[in-house]
Amino acid sequence: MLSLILGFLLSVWIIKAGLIVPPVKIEQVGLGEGTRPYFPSKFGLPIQISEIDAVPLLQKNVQDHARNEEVILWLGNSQLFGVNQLQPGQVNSTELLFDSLKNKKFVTAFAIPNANLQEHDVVLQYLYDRFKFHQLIIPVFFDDLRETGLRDDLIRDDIKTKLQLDTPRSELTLSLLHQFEGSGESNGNEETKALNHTAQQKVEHYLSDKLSSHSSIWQNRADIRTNIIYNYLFSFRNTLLSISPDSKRKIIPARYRLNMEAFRQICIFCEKNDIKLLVYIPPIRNDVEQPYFPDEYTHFKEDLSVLRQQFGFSLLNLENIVPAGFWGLKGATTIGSSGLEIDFMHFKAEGHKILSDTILAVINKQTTL
Amino acid sequence: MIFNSLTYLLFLVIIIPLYWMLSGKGRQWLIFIASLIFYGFWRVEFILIMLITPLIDYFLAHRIAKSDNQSTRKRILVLSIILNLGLLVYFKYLMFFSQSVNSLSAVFGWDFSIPHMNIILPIGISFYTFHTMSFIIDTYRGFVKPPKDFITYGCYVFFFPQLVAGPILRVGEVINQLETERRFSLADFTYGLKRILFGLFLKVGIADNIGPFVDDGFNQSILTLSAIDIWTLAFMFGFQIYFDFSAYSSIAIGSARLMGIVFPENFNFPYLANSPRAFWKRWHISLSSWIRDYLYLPLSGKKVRDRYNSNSEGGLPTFRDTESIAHSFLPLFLTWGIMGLWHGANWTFVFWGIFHASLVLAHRVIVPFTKTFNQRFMQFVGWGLTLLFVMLSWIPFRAPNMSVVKQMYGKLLNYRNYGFLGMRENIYLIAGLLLVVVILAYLFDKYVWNYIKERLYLRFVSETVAYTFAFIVVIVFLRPVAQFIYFQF
Repeated sequence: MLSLILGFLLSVWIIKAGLIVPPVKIEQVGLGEGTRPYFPSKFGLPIQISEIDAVPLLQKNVQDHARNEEVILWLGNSQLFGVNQLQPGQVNSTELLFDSLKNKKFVTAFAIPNANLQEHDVVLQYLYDRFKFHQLIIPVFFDDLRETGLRDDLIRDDIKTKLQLDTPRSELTLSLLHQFEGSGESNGNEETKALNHTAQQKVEHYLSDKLSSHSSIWQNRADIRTNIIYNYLFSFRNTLLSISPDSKRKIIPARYRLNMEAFRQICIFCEKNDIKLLVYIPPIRNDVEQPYFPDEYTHFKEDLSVLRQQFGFSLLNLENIVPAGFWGLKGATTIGSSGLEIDFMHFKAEGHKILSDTILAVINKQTTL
Repeated sequence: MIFNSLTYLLFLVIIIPLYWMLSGKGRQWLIFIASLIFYGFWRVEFILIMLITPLIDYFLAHRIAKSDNQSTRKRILVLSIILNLGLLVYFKYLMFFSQSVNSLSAVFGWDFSIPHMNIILPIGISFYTFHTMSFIIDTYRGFVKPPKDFITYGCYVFFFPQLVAGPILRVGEVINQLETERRFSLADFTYGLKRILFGLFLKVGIADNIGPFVDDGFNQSILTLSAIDIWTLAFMFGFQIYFDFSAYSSIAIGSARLMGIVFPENFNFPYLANSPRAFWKRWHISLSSWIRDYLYLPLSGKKVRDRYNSNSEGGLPTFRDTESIAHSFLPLFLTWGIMGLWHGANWTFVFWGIFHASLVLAHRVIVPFTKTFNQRFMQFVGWGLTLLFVMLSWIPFRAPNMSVVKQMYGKLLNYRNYGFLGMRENIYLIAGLLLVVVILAYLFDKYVWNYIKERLYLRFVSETVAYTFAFIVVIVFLRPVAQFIYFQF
């Protein structure tokens, strides 16, 4: 019994004293140390969002303030909202482009971390049902072609209905619908998902809220959980397998194929709805060796060129536009390392300015580099 | 009520002291009422349904006990079984049967279909039905005498630690203990707390964190999966269900022990079994022994031993190798098919049962030919093969339908599907690590723990470190994000 009591007291002390994990906030964990999320707003409403639940706000902004303007939708991943070494007054590419195009075009953005093209395809159609846009800007990240499927907040009945209407069903649609079949119903609160439709749910919420108001440990559990996963489990994995940011990642063939099919669907959708399509191969650090196998990366760029010839969209290769000095660094991701590591994904505000200016120039000229 | 929740912990904080403050009949009343409250936290309206069959069975059991006429006794037993299975079939299988009939009708082009029904499955119905059936059958067999009052019997059927997902206990395992005036024991109480902590650690620390990987994998299009991915998913789900269900059993054992009541173990390192038969002596022990005594032996026309005074020792030890294989073929497959169907109203579960029956049969056929081989080597080979096939059997258990099962097994049979990987690397790493952890835990339990436990200081330090770690994980990860997998059965 003594060891049990001692174990309990020690565990509370360890958590309370912050000995398990360094005091890092959740939003920093996914982006890496020094990189902060930035979501611009205009007219008191967002112009860039990262969750489907925020779409009504974006829709309202467009409907209220872009009645006679050409609307541009910029899809992306964390590169679009993550700003390294963000200083007061600095903004991201979306806001810079918005300000540059003011009074002519209305820029909106939807960026989700590690977004794959299947998600982009679904989000694009979902948004188009809510407000019309005339131009789409979309980066095709080689990294994100290793992802597949839809994340939880995209598992929605309206999205499922839309997919079911898609006939004949492609391999991609079947794959996405398969995911809907296997997903449970969401009650909006992931923390108590197992109590959905039970009398226990209210009691559990009440007890958890009460405990949170009296205990900082209970209140901060979400942060601690994320930190444990990132600081311990990921570091353990990275150490065990000697993974570093510049480790080469192999493509996963089936996922690559599905994502490229999703990209093709995006092209078809834009063609059908007369949406101008601007595709870019995103910036990547060019002062160190890239974390890809060169032949696979080259093949990927060739695939994009083939699609460009087929659909006639504007394709920009922006791999080298952001100089080495404007890229971010992130905290070490292996056990025992205390230094900083290269961040291949996020750059500083100066990098955002370069990206925005490049896109702006193309929009103004509507020419391909 | 779900064990992995604050509500359950608060429930225990209220019930356990009350239990020890009361005595005699008061304790039984408390357990009975607490168990109904426990169930009501899921759906209050289903409490009445849950009470129906045990109430009727209780009176029928008394009629059986009082009657000297064998045919009357038999008639009452049959009535009870029809009633129990009737309700189980209505709530659990009617939709399944109607869908199967409709599918069959469509295949043959018949102009016939049963309208779609939307029946809510009362949680735990398979478990409390087995409890009450074992009671009436054992009364009929003369192994037990029905308790004098319904509350004692109700405590056996509804006892909250085992109400919704077992272990499936025999009357003799619980009622004797409930009727005995138990005195508070610090050792029992501490053991109970340790088992609850251990169970919560397995559930919220391991099973719930494996779950999303398994869900992602099974939700991924099969076209994108390689054969190695399917093996990995089979192993991952095998680990998930093991940690999940053994966690539930551990919390159930611990909760009962807080009241001084001893439950038998339900798991014993099943993935270290070196034959399919050994696996079922280590996995869900209370179910396999229940099936043996109430299904397999009667189907085989064999006499069932009186186990009234013994625990459900588990497994299928009476599936004797000495018997004729042909003779046991039908009972074996029938038993396992029903056992599969007991798990869920889906052909995938029936297939899972038949898969295991085939493993048991294959083992019986092969073993006589291996007698001349080195037995240590054969045990190792047996372990490897059992592990692979048992893990493979989890695919129908987890897959949503037989079409998916067919596609997944089909992938495994084509050598071309072994040449690539279709998932992120983490999942392979986790599956490998979990296998290593399970093996190390077994070796630790077998070879190291005895050494530690005899040295007081070392034991104290080891336990304190382990409990600190377990408490940290439980405090940080405790939240009812996922039900116990066996709740759906």
